[in-house]
Amino acid sequence: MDEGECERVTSDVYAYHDGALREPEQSRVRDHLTACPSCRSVFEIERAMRAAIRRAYSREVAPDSLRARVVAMLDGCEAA
Amino acid sequence: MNKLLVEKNVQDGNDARARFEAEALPYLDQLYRAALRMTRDRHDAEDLTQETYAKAYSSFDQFKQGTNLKAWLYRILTNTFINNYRKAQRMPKVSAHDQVEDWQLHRNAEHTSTGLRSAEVEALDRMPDSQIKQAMMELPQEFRLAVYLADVEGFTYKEIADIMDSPIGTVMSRLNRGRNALREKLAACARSYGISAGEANG
Repeated sequence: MDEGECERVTSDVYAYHDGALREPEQSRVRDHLTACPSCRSVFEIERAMRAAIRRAYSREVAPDSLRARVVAMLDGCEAA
Repeated sequence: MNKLLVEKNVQDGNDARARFEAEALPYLDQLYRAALRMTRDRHDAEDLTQETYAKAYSSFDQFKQGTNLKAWLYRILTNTFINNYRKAQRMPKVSAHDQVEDWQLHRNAEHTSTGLRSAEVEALDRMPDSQIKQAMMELPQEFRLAVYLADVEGFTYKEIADIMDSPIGTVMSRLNRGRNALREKLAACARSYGISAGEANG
């Protein structure tokens, strides 16, 4: 595999997962990943990282007392 | 003011209240989580979230319907946080704690998590929430917020630039460096978990 191409593709790993790549870069990355297991593994790790990071916060909820305070504040306010 | 006009104003007020509650209140958990990342303290995060809602409600008439309400709320949250802390002078622009030498962030310009084996990727899946949050917490303030907004909340670069009131180039550079640093920390944790899991399995 062309090392220069691997380097270019892996430098786009964040942008790719952010959905921030445009054509033709998007297709170029996708085609390269089909052919290159080593870059594919870099992209799979990034996907696992994001899933883990998102999951870590998904169970964190605001306390009921805060919700009650915000609703009480709305009740006490004149609407805009 | 005639009676009809008064009734109309009351009705508009009720509508605004109902709309605000229906549209803005569902973001309470997310705003509170972001407030926790900023203040690093539950009590301060609750106060900050409540103040954000109070400000958002009082200027709800300035919010353009059909634009991004979530990003608008986050911008109010961020501004409120910055103003409060500047006023209190509790947070210098760059605190000593947040100064991370460039070498720490640049050390691995290349993607640092390459080389994780599949056992370690599995370790990442099983990593306790607290450990991931700790790694995020250790990022310098200005990187932490950008990374949080992108990786957890899924905001675009442009939205993050608006929320943080920073040029998009600055945001992208902070995001890149913060993400590299966070992933390096998580990869190191995963590696040590992966190794111990490998040993446990013989």
